[in-house]
Amino acid sequence: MIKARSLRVDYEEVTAVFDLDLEVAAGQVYGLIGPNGAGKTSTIRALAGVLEPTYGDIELMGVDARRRPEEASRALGYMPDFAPLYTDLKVWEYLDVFGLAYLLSDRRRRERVEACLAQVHLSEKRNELVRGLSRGMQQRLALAKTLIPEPRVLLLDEPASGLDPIGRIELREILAALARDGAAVLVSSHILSELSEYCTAVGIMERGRMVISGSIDSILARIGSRGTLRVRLVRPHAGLQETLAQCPCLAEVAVAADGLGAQARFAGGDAEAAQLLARLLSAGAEVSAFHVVREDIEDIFMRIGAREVS
Amino acid sequence: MKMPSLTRNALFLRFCRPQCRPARLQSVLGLFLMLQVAIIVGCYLLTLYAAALEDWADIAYGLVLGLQAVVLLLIGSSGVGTGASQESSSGALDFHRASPTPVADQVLGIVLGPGILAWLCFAAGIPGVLLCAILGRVSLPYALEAEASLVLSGVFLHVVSAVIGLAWPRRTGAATQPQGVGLGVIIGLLLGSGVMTGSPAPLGAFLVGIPALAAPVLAASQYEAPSHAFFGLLLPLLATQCIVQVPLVVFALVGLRRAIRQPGRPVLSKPVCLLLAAWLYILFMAQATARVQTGRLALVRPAGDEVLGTAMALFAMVVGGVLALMATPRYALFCAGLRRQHEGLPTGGILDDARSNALWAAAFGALTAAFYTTLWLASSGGLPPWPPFCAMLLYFGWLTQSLEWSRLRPTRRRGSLYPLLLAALWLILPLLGWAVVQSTGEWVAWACWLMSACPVFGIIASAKVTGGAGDLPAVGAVFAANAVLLVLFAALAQKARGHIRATVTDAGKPRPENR
Repeated sequence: MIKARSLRVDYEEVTAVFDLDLEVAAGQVYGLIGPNGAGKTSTIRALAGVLEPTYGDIELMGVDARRRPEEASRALGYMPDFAPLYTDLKVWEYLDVFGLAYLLSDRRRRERVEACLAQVHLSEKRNELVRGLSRGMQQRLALAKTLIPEPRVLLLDEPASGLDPIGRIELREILAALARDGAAVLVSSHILSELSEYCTAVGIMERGRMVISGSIDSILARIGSRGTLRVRLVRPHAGLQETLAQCPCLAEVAVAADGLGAQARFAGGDAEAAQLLARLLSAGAEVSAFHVVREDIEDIFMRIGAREVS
Repeated sequence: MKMPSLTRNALFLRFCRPQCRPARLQSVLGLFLMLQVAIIVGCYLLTLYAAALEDWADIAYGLVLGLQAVVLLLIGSSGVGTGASQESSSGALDFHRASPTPVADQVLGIVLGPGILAWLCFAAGIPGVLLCAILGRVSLPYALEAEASLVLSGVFLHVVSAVIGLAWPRRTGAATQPQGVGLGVIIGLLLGSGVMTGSPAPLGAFLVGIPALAAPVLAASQYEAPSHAFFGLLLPLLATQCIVQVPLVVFALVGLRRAIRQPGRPVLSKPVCLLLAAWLYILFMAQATARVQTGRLALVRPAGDEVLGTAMALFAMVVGGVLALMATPRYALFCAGLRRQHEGLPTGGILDDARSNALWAAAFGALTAAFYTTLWLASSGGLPPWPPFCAMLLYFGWLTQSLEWSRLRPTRRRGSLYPLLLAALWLILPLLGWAVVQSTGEWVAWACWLMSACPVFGIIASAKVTGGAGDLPAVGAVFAANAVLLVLFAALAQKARGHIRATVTDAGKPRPENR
């Protein structure tokens, strides 16, 4: 659905995006992560067709977006960071303008305006001027505008900025629903904990380059999955330290002073975790809690992105 | 081909809806109509106190037409420029760029939308104008022609304002209105050239429809029906206005389309800049050989070879300078072009936006030479005076090279060196030279040297050589100084290009920080 090949964007002396390859399949929510100046916004702007790249191929829904931009943007939802709004228009008029921009028929436009207003819970504000909305409501309106064409491709740059907690939950639900319906979603955000909740794949950018890209599981597998094992016992067990130390997947084993708990770095998968639990039980440990806390996007970013930045 | 519809045009409605809310529409139209009525009634009442004022309806007609012109041409084009500029600088236009709306519809929306109130006021004023015409001596056909002239001028100025608004978007907090400056340059270009050639019918006046607007009043004052001899062809004023304005509107629309579709590129491509220069030269030639007639057909000789030669060279200098700004690539664009070349990707050929302006400058020089010679062959049959033309070429040569040198430097290194340099060469040194001339009372050689980098002085001084050998020292200073500047800036531009080439080639290789 979204394909970029050898994409390069230059600004004077800075190369914002350097020979980037990117692919987001239908039904995928792809999170673009990176520090400020990594090239996320330039990538999204180039994909949306509002910034001419130095070179590179862009394909949206199988259409060459650089040669046939009007066709490629037919079902494209683009939402920039700090989305500009027409503050002198009413809420419904604003959405109606973009219904026209997406060449929807009159009936379809009316339906979409009402549906999108309902989706972002702004139906009650439909006749108010945009300038009268709060910052969060304006951000929701920008999201509603993005949803007007029933997009099959969504390019969202920091969509959650300015949204209140409820708005963020709604955004997450909307993106999940769109992905379920087969849309390809590319979203950049600094709020990494939220991205981990709805992204099926991530790409970490640094100085215009894609440092690593893929599904979270595949990235974990590539960089060496890490997690933290936490064990809690009903009563102290003498062989706990020894049993844990024998497991090759564990490192930095630390048993609590009361002997009722332990924590260790875990680098194995689910099978290794099951084997370890079985070994503990067979050794006679009365395990009350056993769980592996996996790394999330934030941890991956701190390991890969932060290292590159430093 | 599907005709664009304004009622389904997103950008048009974006501007139209807030302006056409009942409260705003009523107050603006109400104010306009009240002014119109006040003018008409005021003129009529004056007859009660000034018995000589029998032609009150004609005076009212002129004032009401003037009010229409102010609203449509000044307020309307200012609104279009501001609207386009805000649309671009806020980033809202990006939403439309990323939509399937055809570019032609976007162009239509941005030209007609922001000025909709001005158009509505203009339309509301038509009955009043026609009423004055009926009550007075102005004939209805002339009044209708004047209205058509206003419409044409309105379209022209609104399109140009939209281009300028998009090409130089207003930065937040900036106090200047760049569209005003741009409009001034374009209109002044042709108005000024008319004055320079001594033509009684400067074609620049047709840009804002002045002759056609004045025609009804002239005709009402017992003058014969005015017309304009365009290359010897006697045409009605409105037809001449169409000839002047319509091609320029087409050029502006081409620029507007580009500014919307490719915002990082110059408004006009290099070949289109050459075409525009050719059209401006044609207008110049038409102006130099024509005059407004009152019934008689006559092709007049220009005011004199020296004047015409100087005027043509100065005109070419201004045209070349304005177009060179568009044809010279900026650092980022030049680098992008080289990178595409480096990757073996197809580029736009020798006149590509990203290429150096050197070849374009040569083509412009050849085009100017062709028109310069043609003008002489058509007007006097003799050889043209070459000194002012050669001086113009030297000035144009170093201007384009210095512009390229300045633009091929990254913004952080560029600073304001180049504007300061131009200010020194074109303003401060000539002023010093002029002060020396005034204090000594004669054209001493070193005063000529101080003034030699200024094109106004140089072109005029080199034109004087045809009048006698006494001016040769000044001409020598002009030629020598500008030849040195040309060589200097050509070398600097070459160095800047070479530096970028080296950087781009190196950037293609893996660097330690990129591994």
